[in-house]
Amino acid sequence: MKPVVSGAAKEAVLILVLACVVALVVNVARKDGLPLVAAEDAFRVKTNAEFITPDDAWKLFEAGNAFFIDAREPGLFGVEHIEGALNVVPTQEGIDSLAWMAPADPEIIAYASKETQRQAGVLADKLLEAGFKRVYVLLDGIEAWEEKGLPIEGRAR
Amino acid sequence: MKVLKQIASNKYFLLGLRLVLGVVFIYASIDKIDKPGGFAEAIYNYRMMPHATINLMAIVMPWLELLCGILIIIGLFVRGSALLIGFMLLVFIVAISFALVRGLDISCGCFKVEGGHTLALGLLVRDILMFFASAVVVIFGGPSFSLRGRQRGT
Repeated sequence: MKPVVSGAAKEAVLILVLACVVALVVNVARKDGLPLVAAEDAFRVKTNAEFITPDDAWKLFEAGNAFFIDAREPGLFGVEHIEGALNVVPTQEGIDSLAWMAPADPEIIAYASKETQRQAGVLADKLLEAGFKRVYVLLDGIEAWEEKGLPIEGRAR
Repeated sequence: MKVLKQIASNKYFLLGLRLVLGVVFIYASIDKIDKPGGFAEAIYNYRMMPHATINLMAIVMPWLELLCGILIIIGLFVRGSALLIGFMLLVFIVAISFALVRGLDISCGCFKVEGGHTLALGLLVRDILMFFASAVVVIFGGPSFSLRGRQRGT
């Protein structure tokens, strides 16, 4: 067994070196190549909507013309979500289902989880494209909301 | 036990395992090679890797998958390829397990870097099965149906 693994390990090192060389050469040659170390803000959510803190979002909600839209999968929404939130995944059908809101020109706060804020950013951009003007993304997602002790509902509650 | 060993060392059975692993890894590499930025984001979403290593992993891993996939099919460095495939599967198994335990709602980044599978137990089972397949090829993978075997006349 030992010679088998040792032989395989030698081959593996050779393949790894070859893969590194090919990968790095191609990365340098291609237009959309990545820097070897990502910039600090490389993975931040990109959206045209403004970010809003949980406290400010709560104030908007209490003022009475704001809706929370949960951009996560329905399964996770069922487990827990911000009290009163609607679940709309960022698809065209999802955006169309909110057409009834448009005449009231509401403030819309899109959110997802901290790890999937990108989904909230995508939803927020689609809402802006659809003509909604006051669209926000909840900073650091539902986890930040929970940390503040703000109201949550769902099966886990 | 003896029967299992006989099956595991059967050259047609091993060829089948090599083809499955090779096709899966070649297919898995294509979208990642096409969209390195998207794959880097998929890695970032797992929240496991140090920030400084994410891009390097996103650059190298897809090519490693492609190379291993090709080599294991054509039969060059079969055991080395299978060892690397097994190692990569082990990394995926650990990453998916941690993500499932932490309840992360993210795309797995397995075949499509964006909008692919969301994490589920089924993915974990698939990767564990492939891990065992790669282990069998490391241990029993010989020169049959390989370029090296042809050179040696086996």
